[in-house]
Amino acid sequence: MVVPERWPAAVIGGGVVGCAVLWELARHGVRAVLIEAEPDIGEGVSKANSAIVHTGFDARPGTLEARLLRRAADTWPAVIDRLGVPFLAVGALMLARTDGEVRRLRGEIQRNATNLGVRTELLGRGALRDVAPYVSDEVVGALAIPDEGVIDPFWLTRAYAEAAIEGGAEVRTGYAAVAMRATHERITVELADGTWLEVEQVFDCGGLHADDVARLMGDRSFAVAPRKGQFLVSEETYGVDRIVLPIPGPMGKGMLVTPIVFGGLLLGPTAVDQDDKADRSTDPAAWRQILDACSSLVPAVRNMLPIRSFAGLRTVSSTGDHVVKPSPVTDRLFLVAGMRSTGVSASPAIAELAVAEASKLRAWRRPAVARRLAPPPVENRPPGEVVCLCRSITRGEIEAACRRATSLRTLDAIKRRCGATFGDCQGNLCALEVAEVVARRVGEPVTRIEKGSRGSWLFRQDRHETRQRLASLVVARTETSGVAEADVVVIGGGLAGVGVALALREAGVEPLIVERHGHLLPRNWSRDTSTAIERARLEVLDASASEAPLVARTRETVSGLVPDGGGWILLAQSQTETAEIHARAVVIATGGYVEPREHRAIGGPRPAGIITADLVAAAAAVGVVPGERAVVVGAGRAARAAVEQLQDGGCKIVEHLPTSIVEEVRGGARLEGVRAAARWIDCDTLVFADRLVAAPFLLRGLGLIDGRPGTPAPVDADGQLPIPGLWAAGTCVVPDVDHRRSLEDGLRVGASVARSLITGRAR
Amino acid sequence: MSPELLRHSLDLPSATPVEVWTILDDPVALRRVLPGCESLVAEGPSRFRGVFHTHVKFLTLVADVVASLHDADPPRHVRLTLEGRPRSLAASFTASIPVDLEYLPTDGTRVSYRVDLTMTGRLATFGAPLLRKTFLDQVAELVRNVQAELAARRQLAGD
Repeated sequence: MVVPERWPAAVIGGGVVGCAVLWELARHGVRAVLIEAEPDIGEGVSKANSAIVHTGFDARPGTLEARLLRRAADTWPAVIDRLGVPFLAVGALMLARTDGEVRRLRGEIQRNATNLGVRTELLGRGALRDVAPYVSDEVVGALAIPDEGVIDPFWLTRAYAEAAIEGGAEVRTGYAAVAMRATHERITVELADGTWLEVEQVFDCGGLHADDVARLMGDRSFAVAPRKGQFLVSEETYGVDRIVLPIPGPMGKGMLVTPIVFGGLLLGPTAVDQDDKADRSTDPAAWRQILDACSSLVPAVRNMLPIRSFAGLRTVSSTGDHVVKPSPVTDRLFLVAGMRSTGVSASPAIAELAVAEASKLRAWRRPAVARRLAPPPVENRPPGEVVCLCRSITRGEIEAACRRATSLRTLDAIKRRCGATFGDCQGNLCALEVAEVVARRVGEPVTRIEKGSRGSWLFRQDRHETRQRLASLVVARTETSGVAEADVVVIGGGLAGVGVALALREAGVEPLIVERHGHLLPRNWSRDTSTAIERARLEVLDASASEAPLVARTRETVSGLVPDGGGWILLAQSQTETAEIHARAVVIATGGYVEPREHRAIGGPRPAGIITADLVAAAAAVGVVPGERAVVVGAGRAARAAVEQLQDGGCKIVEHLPTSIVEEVRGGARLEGVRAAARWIDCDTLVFADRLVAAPFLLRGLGLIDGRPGTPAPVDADGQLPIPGLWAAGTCVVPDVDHRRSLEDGLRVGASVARSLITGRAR
Repeated sequence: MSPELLRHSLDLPSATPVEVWTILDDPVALRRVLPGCESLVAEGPSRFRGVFHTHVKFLTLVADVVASLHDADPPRHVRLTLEGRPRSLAASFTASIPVDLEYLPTDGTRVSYRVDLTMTGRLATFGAPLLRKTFLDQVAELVRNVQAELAARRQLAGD
């Protein structure tokens, strides 16, 4: 017989509030365990919210919520200091568009804020323009609330948990509480795996399911209903440096424009009450609604191109207020529920109150210890190769994330800890490599790594047969590492990059190619799908390959371009070092990525299995396949290559749609179907191979392009960029998913670069 | 090419520009006052190479940095350039920081500076507000260190 574990305290639910309660217990020296049903903490309500640390200036007076928000405002500086969480006190501007709204600001809203002890300042039109020139001309005044801030909610949740662990607490993910029964001295909590805990005090921090947890004890004193809020995420900022919000309505603050602590903007949320606690689907109508509402505050966001949309669920309590009190059924169950949209903001005060009240019940007498969370260990080792290209995140950073105290083994967990897969391409260029790093860390095959929730599988072992690729015929001599010099460095060894190199060589200039993969030419490119021109040019090259191969540094990623006295220093990141390459001229031929679902206004949830041809090609190269029954979108050679690779791997092509007519998707952990032309198609995988987005990421660091996804490299007719010595060619200039003109464009730009160098020499 | 990150000015109430300048001339003192400075070696009259170990709230970085002083007009103006490579990130930064020191009648100094910052790789993916905040936190620590350094010198001179 298994002896149940005994604990003084257990927290059910690993969201921001549950983790805050766990930390507070640890600070008071109460031995506690946190039980979370999902594979990671913060996987429920806490993963999708506006990330605002709210002063409570508009809270309903007399409510527990208002009291807790005020108390939290006093404690935040110490919490931020102790946990070392990224926080920016950006302040907020509540905008008025009519004289009537100005009167509301000056009247009830400012008065309420003042009564709650929140600092505010009224700004007239001129003063507002001085501090926020980006707001709409129609705005006639604003209320500034300088103490509003933004935080990283993932980081906060994790920091609470890690600080608690440092204080002696335990966190167990993947364990659901399925039954509870009370005795005089304790509650027995049965877990889904058949084990049970005997606990003196249970804290119900179940978020959206807090009422379901309470029901396990027969407590029906409150219910929690979801209120869905949809958001858009942008890498563009338009100069917005503070939270911008309208006058609030009956459903909350309305739709906001909010700076994200690590950069970019968050737009939204919508507010729609619903019954389904699992429905986090988004829809194109809400996308338009958000852009309409937010562009009335900040007109520039009208043309924003989101890199992601998502939906969060607020926990609306039937009591109309936060529930922080003992259960009426037994005081050994302490209810911590119904935080609506202020769970993050009030979390320190909620935890403080809950533990203080429970301490009275259980006669816990130790005072809180003010201890700082130990900062992450100094990372003094080489970063390793770049894995996430959009954000230049290296293997070292991902491994460091894996070493953190809170266990993790999913892609979403990695994303929340270091940002990998969260960039423009939404993981389609790097999900496989990230999964491989995690798989190595946990000692399992990559096919066992999931996206997030249980069942969100990513890859199956395939029956891949090696297909003859022309790439293998384009022989490259790999340079050794270290400092190198070249007249011209070509960044990217795809069709355009190889074209540039060919033209330079024909003009007598020997180029150096730097390619992040282990080979030249795209992974999804084969002799079968090549054009006649490509075959002719590349086979000539192949014929001369043994005597004069192209010179390339493969498996290196250029992470930086630094001007150097009329030339350039390239920082090339490999598995073992950051090398410097000095060049007179640089040609950027970094191609692009297939437009992911997140850039498209497609309705539905976010299950695993909605990918692009980029991920299909990456998977095929290592002998896994990202689906079993796929719908492929696209009519060109990229789509044909994806179909072949999927079929080679044993994936059935359920339907091949020539253009993107996908309107909606459905599924839970994994995709279950797509709706196209008003017809549902059952499938577990949706592959986009129809549109390419330019990816000249390197130019962002030089200020040549902004954060807008897909902004092509701004070249002149010869392929030259506005900075001397820099050129660009191929699909990073003119995106085309089938790369039909990449080789020719590379040849053309290569010839221009050669002419320029020769002319320069002559001068 | 080097976007402006911030402009800022602050007052050192009990340090004259001449006193502040003496720290710039003293690599040993500079090492003491620069936040997170693990080592600093003068490579010439106006060029230093150092290793900085920085806790910036959430990131703990070790960076190799080359600092150079340009356009020096003691004790009124100098332009500091920093070129750095964090050891554990695929990234680099280059900062140009013109600094003006102005005498205050209270025997203090008004320090006005601008930071033009170019970043590559991972650092370029962090938003300007976060970097601005991080930089200002470091400057605040630097100011505290400078004041402590000068107070210690005065005490030593008084003894």
